[in-house]
Amino acid sequence: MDFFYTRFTIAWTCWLLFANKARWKEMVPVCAFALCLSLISDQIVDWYVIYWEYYGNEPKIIRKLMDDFDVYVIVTYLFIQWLPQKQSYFNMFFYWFAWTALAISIEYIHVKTGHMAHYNGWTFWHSYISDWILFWLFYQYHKILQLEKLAK
Amino acid sequence: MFLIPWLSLFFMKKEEVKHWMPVSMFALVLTIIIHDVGTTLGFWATRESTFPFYQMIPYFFGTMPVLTIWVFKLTYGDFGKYFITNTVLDIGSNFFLLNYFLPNRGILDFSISPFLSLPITFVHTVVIYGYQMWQDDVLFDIKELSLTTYNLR
Repeated sequence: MDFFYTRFTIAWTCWLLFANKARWKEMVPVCAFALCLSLISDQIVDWYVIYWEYYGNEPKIIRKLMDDFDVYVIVTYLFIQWLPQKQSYFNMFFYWFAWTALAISIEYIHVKTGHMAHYNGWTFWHSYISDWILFWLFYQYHKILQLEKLAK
Repeated sequence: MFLIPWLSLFFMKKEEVKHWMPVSMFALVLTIIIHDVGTTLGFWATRESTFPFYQMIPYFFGTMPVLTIWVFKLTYGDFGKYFITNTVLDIGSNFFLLNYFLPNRGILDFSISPFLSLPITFVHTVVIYGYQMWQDDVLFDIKELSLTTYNLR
């Protein structure tokens, strides 16, 4: 089975197993925001300086759509769902540390298995810092728009 | 086409911007996916974009989402008004902007007839309205329709 099909299956299995489906109305806007950032970053990265590229056997458009609709969506969903109740600096730092560690580990697997490559000076450190910023943006988007009101 | 539309949101109340922002982001996601799929199928191709964007002109990241916010603010709750407003805008964008203005300036190749692209934008229009109704708890709870509509006005 191809790598990206497997990833897609694993990601949605995680959603089925761990996601609180009652909160999906609250989560969909944050996931759409994450998708926007992902799609916009694809636009920028495809400019004349390519920073990363995915490789697989699937047609490019299928790989791209699967890329957008599995890890980005599921990770954002679960990240917001499990935000600590008590949001102290320590709790939040630890929470971010755990999620960014997961995100960079997923990227590491992609690179080491040859399904992703970094170019033009992009490194894991750039990705890691971007992950901290992205999770902060998802958190702020959820907080500022008061999306918890949409929870049943 | 990118920056100035966002500045227009200063004329809207902060709470309203917050309320309509999710549907605007949802519309943007659908637009980018439609654009990607259309590019792959050869319906259209961007010849010249603006840094840092590659395949998509800045219109998609500025005018389109901001216009979505304004149209929802001014017409949501009255689907007829919403659909007519969008039809006028969609005819303008499909027949003038995408089919004439941008191709004539070498920015975009538009290989599909605007009579075929127009239904795509109609579907987009209806889907994002449905999304907002669902977010506002109206779609699956018809009893609440009048109450929610009243509150929104």
